[in-house]
Amino acid sequence: MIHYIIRRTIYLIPILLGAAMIFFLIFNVVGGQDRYLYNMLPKKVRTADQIEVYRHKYGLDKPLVAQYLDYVKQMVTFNFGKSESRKLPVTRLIKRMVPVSAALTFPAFTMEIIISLVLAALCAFFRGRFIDKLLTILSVIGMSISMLVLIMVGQYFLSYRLHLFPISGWQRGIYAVRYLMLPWLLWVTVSVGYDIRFFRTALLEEVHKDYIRTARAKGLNETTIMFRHVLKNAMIPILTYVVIQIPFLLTGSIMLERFFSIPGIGSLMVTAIFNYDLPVLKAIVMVYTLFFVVFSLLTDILYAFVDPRIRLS
Amino acid sequence: MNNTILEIKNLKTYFHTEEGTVRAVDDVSFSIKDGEILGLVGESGCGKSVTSLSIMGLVPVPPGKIEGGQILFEGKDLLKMSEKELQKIRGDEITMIFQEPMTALNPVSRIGDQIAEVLEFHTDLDKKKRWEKAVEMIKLVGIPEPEKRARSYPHEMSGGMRQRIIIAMALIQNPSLLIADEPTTALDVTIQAQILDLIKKLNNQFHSAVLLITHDLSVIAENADRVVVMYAGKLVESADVKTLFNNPKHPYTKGLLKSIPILGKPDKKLHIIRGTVPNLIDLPPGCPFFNRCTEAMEKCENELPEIISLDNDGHLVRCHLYRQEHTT
Repeated sequence: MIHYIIRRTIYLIPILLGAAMIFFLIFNVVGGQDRYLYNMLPKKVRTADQIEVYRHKYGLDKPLVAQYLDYVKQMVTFNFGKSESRKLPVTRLIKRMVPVSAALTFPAFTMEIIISLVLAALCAFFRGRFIDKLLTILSVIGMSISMLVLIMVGQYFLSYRLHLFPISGWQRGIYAVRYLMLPWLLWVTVSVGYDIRFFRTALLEEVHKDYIRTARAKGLNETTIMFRHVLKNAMIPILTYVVIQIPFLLTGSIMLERFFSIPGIGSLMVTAIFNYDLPVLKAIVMVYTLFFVVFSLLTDILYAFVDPRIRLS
Repeated sequence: MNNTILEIKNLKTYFHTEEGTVRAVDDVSFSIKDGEILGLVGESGCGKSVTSLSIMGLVPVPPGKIEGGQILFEGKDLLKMSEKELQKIRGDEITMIFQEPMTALNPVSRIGDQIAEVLEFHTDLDKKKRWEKAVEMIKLVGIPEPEKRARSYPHEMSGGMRQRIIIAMALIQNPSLLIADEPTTALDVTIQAQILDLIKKLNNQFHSAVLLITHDLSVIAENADRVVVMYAGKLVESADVKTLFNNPKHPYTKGLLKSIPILGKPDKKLHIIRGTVPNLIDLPPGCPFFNRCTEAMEKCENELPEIISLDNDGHLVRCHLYRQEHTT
């Protein structure tokens, strides 16, 4: 187990180097560097001289290998320099934005998973009956409506007309909850449909297995069968589904952050793209990759805990 | 020894599918006496397993439905019982062993817990006692190191061991009736013999009646006291094991017995029953075996034969050939 974790952690190095390489190649080989630098400059000073100044400032006049090594160095020291548009160290920006994104996404995600697990269990328990059919129809309807539509409907009716929530905005500390309520609600509405369908399938997959028939033959009641046998086995796909989404939670919901003016990492990324903010983009690519790889490792380790057939070695 | 423990009367279990109604079990009656081993034989799809699931009350509804008949267990009709009452009987008084030991155990629970779970629902024993009894049972079915084995998971065991575990589970409450649905089909030949010996040994020890379902006639010959032969959802012949093997009456039973390869006579061409089992959805009105029968008569095509009693020892046959003898 320990060996496995160590080995997987060592694998992180080539993966991160590879991600850096891809980003580097896209920026240097595919994208036009001059045009990028031109756009990066404040509007008033877009002259050829200034471009050269910036080229030197970001080390883009060095040979390609040296540039790549610079990026690797930034990765290792986690120092990506200052944001061009915000004039603040990138690391500080990210440290400030991640909790904001997490405040939006974690409570919403937790509610989403709990609600959909309960409803999916109901569907699986009463499979083929009225409640199952009703929830299935509602799920499909929910899945079919775009987040954009829900955002607009929510902001117009619930905030503007009914004054239940602020339309958008942000405050630090506990007051943030006021601004987060509508985004949370929309998040849950959009995602429960998918989850219910997925969890229901995962549960029903188990319901028809032979060992469930054995459990019935032992004289167990349906509730025990559902919770002790079905749910325990269905936890394996469910857990993967849940854990693999966590890195995306840390990086925020781009759409909700944009529409509700929530200063999270999603907003940061979008503005960085629009402003040609190279240091910020470099950092976000790394953060994203790191989260993703770490959480997939976590998923694999958790597997071994829920499924005795899996031994990590 | 001679009390009837289970009596099935005119059981009809149908499956309503989109293509039509499948009469999986159609008007089947037989009974099992206390402590005896009753063999139920027939080829795939003849309704053997559906009969056993009907007794257990585990027929998947829908599409399945028990359309008629009675299943009297110790005089009480199982078909009239509520789900709660059935849960009390299942795993306690009537238990079951399945065909597929590889998938019949929960892969994420420990063996000991899975056996002890039976006691949780049928006794007042505390957790420690339940575990102890589960370990004892693992030992009884002939698995070495029972304490260690109780803590292992199903994937750490072979098919034969898993089948022993399922047997342990089925016998822990000392049931009146054990249904063994093709208990050895999925196992190696050597393991098959061990498992059957175990079932037979425990049948002696616990005095549980056994309904042994199989398509393997040699298993029946060696283990059963009486035999019921099913074909296309219907009972075609029933007799005690000696009578059936020495004096089969129904052309289907005769054909089955002739089809057993004989060791040491490799030059003899193996007998086969020509044709295939009819589709159970639109069964012809006559005898279901008509299209394959070597002794078919004109009336067999349109008239379903009644069950005829051939002697006083319960030799029953569903065939027109014997109607004359019976009525005269």
